[in-house]
Amino acid sequence: MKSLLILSTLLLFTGCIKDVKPWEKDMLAKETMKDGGINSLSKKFEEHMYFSKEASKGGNGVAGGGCGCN
Amino acid sequence: MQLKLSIATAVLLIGVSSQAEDYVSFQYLQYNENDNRTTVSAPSIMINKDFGVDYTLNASFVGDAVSGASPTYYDTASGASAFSRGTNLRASDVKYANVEYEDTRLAASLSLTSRFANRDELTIGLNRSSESDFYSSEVSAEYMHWLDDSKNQSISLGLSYQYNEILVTCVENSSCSVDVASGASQKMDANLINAQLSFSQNIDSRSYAKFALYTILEDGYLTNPYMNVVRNYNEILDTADIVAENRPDSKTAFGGSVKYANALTDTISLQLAYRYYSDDWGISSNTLDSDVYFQYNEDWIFKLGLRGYVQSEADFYSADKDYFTNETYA
Amino acid sequence: MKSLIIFLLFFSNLLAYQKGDIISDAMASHLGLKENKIYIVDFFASWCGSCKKELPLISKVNLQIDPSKVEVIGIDVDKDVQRGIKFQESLKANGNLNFRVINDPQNLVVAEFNPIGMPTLYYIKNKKIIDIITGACDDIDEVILNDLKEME
Repeated sequence: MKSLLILSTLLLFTGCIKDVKPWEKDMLAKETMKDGGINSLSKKFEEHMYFSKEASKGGNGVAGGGCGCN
Repeated sequence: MQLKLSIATAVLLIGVSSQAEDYVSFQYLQYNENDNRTTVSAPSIMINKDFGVDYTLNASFVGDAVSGASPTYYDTASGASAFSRGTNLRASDVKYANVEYEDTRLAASLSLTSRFANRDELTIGLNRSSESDFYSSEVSAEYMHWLDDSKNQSISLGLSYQYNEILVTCVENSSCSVDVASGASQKMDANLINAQLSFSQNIDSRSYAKFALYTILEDGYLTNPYMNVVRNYNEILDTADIVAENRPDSKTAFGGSVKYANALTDTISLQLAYRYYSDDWGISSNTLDSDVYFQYNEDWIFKLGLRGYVQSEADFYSADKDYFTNETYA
Repeated sequence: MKSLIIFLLFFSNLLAYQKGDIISDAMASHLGLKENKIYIVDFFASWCGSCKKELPLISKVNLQIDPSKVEVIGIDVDKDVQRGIKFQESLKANGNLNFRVINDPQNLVVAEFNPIGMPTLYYIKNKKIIDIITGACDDIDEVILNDLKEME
């Protein structure tokens, strides 16, 4: 069921994809559109916060550093 | 153990002094939970510097002051530290409650991004952190390759290796090899390898999506040395043992994530993320993150986030005092 | 101007000026190109990080070239004209922008040139594209000086 959801999401995106020209990327270049948010350090802090409470981790890049919080 | 609603608040203050793309960022992060559970105060500094158009160096230093109380089983009758353990205790004296702790964590990280003629990027990172009982060193590398000339599609491969050392006070039934009676400490270690493959696609001039698959392989000492479980419950004699918890010495996890970002207006952006996680301890989880950014003006950006997380328990999870375990792992 | 707009609307998706191409008369007129003069046409935007690095260097080389033979023209592709002008003013105040700029908020000029990256720099003489430098370039000032020497 999950793989079907992922596949259908992929197909939906494929149908709507436009070839964005280099000069049309002003919105995509905004600081608030960066993957992980506007600040990588606070993102790392958030991930440690969540990791200390949850039993799952990963999916946000491989560099995060360890902590003895779990 | 019953799930309790915990309320966490975090405040982030960022001051930035910058020229062009270079900046120095001073941050103060404050995290609080209800019931005096955990408080973290984390002042930090981050420096980002471009060298020409081909190199970017990023360095950060964080000092976390962590304090609070963590729930675990302990023996009320002993009157000793609540991390106390023992055998043949009165079962009715075993309680599950918060135990105070405090610690300081210092962490430093360094990363260098190199851009090639085709604008592919290679980022090498180093992380080092230390607490009174936990030391972590990490090296990482990530390569990003553009799949098209318009730079609307990219694929990334990341790999990191983490070496962790945990200081464990040796007690009976732990995996320490030193003299148990002396209560000495021993450094246990653990290794972690994280690999992630991602694909990013610009959908239109205002939005993009990112897909990732990852795996995390861990081995070594993966137990929390402060957590206790209750074993050998004898209903007739009303006795039980409080001993250190014991998690397996390896874990293999897989996960997948989907992210979507959309600049809804010139001042409001939305970022959504879903992650599925599963490991061989029997834990699987679903996470949904949503963040809304509001750019008030050139100097102020506000973020509002909502996160939903659901997970199953590990196969060897021991629920509460009414469930005494004699499983190998608990 | 009207003919330029109509022309571009029909052909913007097909056109992409490559090295050796001749630009349209309408475009040459819009850019104010004169005969027998080398023009360095640089496409930039306020949100383009690499452009911010290059503009001071292009301004630096602009002081070293003979204005009767070579002229630099900037094309600002910011859709928000006021934002683009504000960006240009802040650069001018520091001496980091000292050449003529044409604002292209409707992106008609850039659509006709159709560069594959930002920033992109075109060398044009007598309406012919002599060379193109696409993307971020360290030491763009030295690159331009060397290119101009070879063109003499």
